[in-house]
Amino acid sequence: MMLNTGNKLDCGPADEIVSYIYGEGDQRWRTRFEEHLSNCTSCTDEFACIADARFSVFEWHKEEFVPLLTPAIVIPYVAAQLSSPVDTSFFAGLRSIFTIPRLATGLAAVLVTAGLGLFGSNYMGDTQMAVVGPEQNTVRPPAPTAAATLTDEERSAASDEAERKIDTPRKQPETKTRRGRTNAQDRDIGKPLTANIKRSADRDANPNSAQRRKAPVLNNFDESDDRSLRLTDLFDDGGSGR
Amino acid sequence: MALAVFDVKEKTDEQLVELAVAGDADAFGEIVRRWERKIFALCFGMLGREDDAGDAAQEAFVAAYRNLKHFRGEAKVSSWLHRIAVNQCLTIKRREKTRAEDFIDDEDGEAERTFVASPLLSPARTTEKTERLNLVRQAVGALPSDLRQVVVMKEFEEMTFLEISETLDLPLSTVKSRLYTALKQLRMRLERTPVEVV
Repeated sequence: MMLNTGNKLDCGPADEIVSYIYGEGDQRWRTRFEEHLSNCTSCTDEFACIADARFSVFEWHKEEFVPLLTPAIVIPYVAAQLSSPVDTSFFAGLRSIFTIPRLATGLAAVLVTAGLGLFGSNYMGDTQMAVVGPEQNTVRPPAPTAAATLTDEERSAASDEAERKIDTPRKQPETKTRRGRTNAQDRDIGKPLTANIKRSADRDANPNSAQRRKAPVLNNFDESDDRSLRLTDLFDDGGSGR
Repeated sequence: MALAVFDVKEKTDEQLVELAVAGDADAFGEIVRRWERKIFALCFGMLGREDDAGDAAQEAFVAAYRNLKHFRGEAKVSSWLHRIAVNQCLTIKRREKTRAEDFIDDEDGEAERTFVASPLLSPARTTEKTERLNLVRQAVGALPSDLRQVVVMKEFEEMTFLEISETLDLPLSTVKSRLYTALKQLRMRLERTPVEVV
């Protein structure tokens, strides 16, 4: 007969009893355990001891905890949404446009646009200041000259030259425009048109400008040169077709 | 009659068996009263269902009464009853394997946790049950926290040993050992304060 020595049985680990009581282990192991249990008195007594304690806990759990009701969680607004009829009127649709999320979206769009506008205007102003400012404020030191190394005669000659430049009235430099004319020619805006025509005729007479493309003369229009289709041509074609 | 019952309560299990073999019906009734709950718990531990455990316990006592003459006194009465109950449970298990509908019930698993309270509980039994539940509550509360934790996780949360070992980060054998120790200590605490049946 097997003896029970403390928490361990001579037949094997005693904690296998709890595995069997709580329904764990595969069927093969359980069958072997049952066969052993039917032939081993000490294991049977130990099994009965543990089973009695387990049933006490099971009974306590069943009597005092299982009957406790689980509180039901009710969300009232879900039921209200389901029960309320859906309003499909025009005003309801209009009202839905101005619901809080859409209004918030529109407001956010306005704010973003205004912010971008302010940022852009500030950025452009700063850029212009950055372009203009330095040129106005930059004072470049005079370039070092060789005056320090000049003799007294050369220095007096240079000062005379400078005085003469001051006395002489400043003249605009004659720069040529893109068309080869001077600024003075371009400034003759008040002259009559004939003068300009005459000038262009002179320019045409110039052999250097003969290679240029002949400009169309509006007042000397020759119909024979016009080859475009006319209404009279259409009518003539229709009459001859008959 | 009342005096006879009082005398029976004073007897040991072996004396009661001798009286029962001699034809004293009250003696065997006292044996049933003393061991019915433990035999039922053993059958519940083996079968896992209360209705089957009740049937097995009843059949075990019937088998014990029929075999009173074969009790030779080499082992304790409790051990003798335990072995009869175990064999009776194994017989029921073998019988269940032949029933197709019981396989469906096992797959369903609903009936395993269904508790059928006996409507015929006498006031004395109800009082006894209440006292026992109080004792169990106190005994579980007096367990060391590591043992109580395993009991709660197994019995209340219905976790497997593997889940408990993963949750507590303990070896599987440690979890089983802790539960075994916890149930053993519970049994000792409940034995020290037995509930008297009126």
